Amino acid sequence: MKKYAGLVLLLLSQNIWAENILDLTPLQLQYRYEDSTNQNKDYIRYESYGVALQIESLRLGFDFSKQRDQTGNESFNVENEKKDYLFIAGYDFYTIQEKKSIYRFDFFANGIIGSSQSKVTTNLLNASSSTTTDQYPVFGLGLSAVARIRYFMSEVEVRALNSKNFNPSTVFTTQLKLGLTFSI
Amino acid sequence: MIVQIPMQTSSSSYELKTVTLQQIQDLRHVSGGFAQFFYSPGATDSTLTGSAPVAHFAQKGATFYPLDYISAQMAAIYYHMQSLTSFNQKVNAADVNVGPRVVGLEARVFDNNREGTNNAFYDGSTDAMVFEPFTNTDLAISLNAGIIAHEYFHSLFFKLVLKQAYKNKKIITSSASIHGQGAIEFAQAVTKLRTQTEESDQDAALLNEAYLRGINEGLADFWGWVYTEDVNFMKWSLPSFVGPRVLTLSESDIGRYETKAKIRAKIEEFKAFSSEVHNSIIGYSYQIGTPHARFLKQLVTFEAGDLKIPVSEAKVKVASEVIEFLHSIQRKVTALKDGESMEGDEVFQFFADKNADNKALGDKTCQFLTSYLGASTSAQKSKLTCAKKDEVVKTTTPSADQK
Repeated sequence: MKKYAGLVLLLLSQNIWAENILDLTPLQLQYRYEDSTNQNKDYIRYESYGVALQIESLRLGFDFSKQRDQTGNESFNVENEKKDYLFIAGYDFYTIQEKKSIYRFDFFANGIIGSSQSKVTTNLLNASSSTTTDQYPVFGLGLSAVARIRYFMSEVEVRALNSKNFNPSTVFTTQLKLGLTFSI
Repeated sequence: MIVQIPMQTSSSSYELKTVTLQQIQDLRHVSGGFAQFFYSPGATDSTLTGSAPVAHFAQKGATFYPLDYISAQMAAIYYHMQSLTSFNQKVNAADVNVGPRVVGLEARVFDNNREGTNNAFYDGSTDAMVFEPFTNTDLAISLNAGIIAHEYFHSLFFKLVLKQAYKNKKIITSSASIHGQGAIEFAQAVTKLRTQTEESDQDAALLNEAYLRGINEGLADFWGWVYTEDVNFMKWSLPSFVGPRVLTLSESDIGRYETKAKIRAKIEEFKAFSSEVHNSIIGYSYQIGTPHARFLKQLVTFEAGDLKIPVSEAKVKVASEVIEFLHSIQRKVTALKDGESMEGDEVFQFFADKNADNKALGDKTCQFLTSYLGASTSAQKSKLTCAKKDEVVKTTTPSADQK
């Protein structure tokens, strides 16, 4: 046990930040402030995953988000599964990193482009009909702050996204991402 | 705008169909020429208040798919309002409902401090069709084409019959719902009118109330059948209310209905044993109404055969005559003197007279019509008599030549 603890301390104590960094963010907590199925606006939770590659001051990322809701009763109900595929281009406009430090903080201004699509499944008296809708373009702007401590990273991001597939068409999102980071 | 909604495709099936919504001005609120929605509305004396529900659709090609339950209800109701407005034109009632129909969804209605659910009603004072929250597992009332047509008919009945009667203080009831439980009454108006009514006139007023409520419900059920061709359209949403309101007329029930004497006796019973006479009348009104609905449905079948026309055409013919009847009953209600009551067979009398000059009337149809006149003194008043098979003898006012 002491051996493993020593190894972790050794790894954490090294400062090997390179110019290029790969971030994997499988753990995300995303909320969008949008129309809910209860006729009010609410923070709706989305399931999302992402990956990002930082090359010097430029960071390119990809996020996949999905959300599913179901309304109605046993005789008639509607399931809506929305999937978004977003590419993010960020510019690192401010970095906090001391020499030999095991951590670094980066602040990004992001531009977002991608697509959104819904799969609507309508169940009526035990018969089901499913339709995958058109792909709608998504555009957005965002700000994010990334904290990296050796192999671990966390990111907080806010975005404004616009798409015809969103309700309303412009929605604000807040995202907390946790993941792994690698210097490459 | 093409949209997918649940549609009744036969008396035994509902299916998802794409339909075209016309005159949509605002897709986000599904408002346009045929309907305007309010979500969980309030009300003033003359209108619903509150905000419109927000509808969500996803698009594929030219078709919009509702993304949630409320949006599906809005699209379905808008379509039915559009279709029923179109039907109005066929039955000479185009000028009765002008402009978009006001519809309240998820309306929170309290009756004796109990919140109403699983009901719909037409409210004459706000000219609105109101749907309470639906909590059962069956098809929501707001998706049930037959019930929507039923409620739509109440708006015709209100405007063609009741509105003037209220104005003239001839009757003391107002709203009508798909079933008796939780029906809203305008307590203040009712109380005021009741105190203005002489004790001796109240029996007649109660009888008129019961009869008008009854035929309002019965004719509305007929409208539901005309729109869906489903004799049991309530089964989809309210199976517990189905039994007595199925519109199939059995041989043994031909000619049977709640006569004036029966209605009067029932009211006396309510007065003797019920503390809530008015609520008892609400429940009883469906018993008065259903024989009327069955009668009209059967008449459609007979007329289609006699005139050798499709049932769809016969439905329009009889429905047009129902609208004529509403005009005639309005005149009769308006002309009622204090203490005077309806005969209780006005519908049957009207259709018998309507067919007195019908040369195509078959003997079976004639016998059918007259069987409803035998239960009261109307048999003597009717212009229609049946001679022998396939021959109808008219006893209209003799012409100058005959004299």
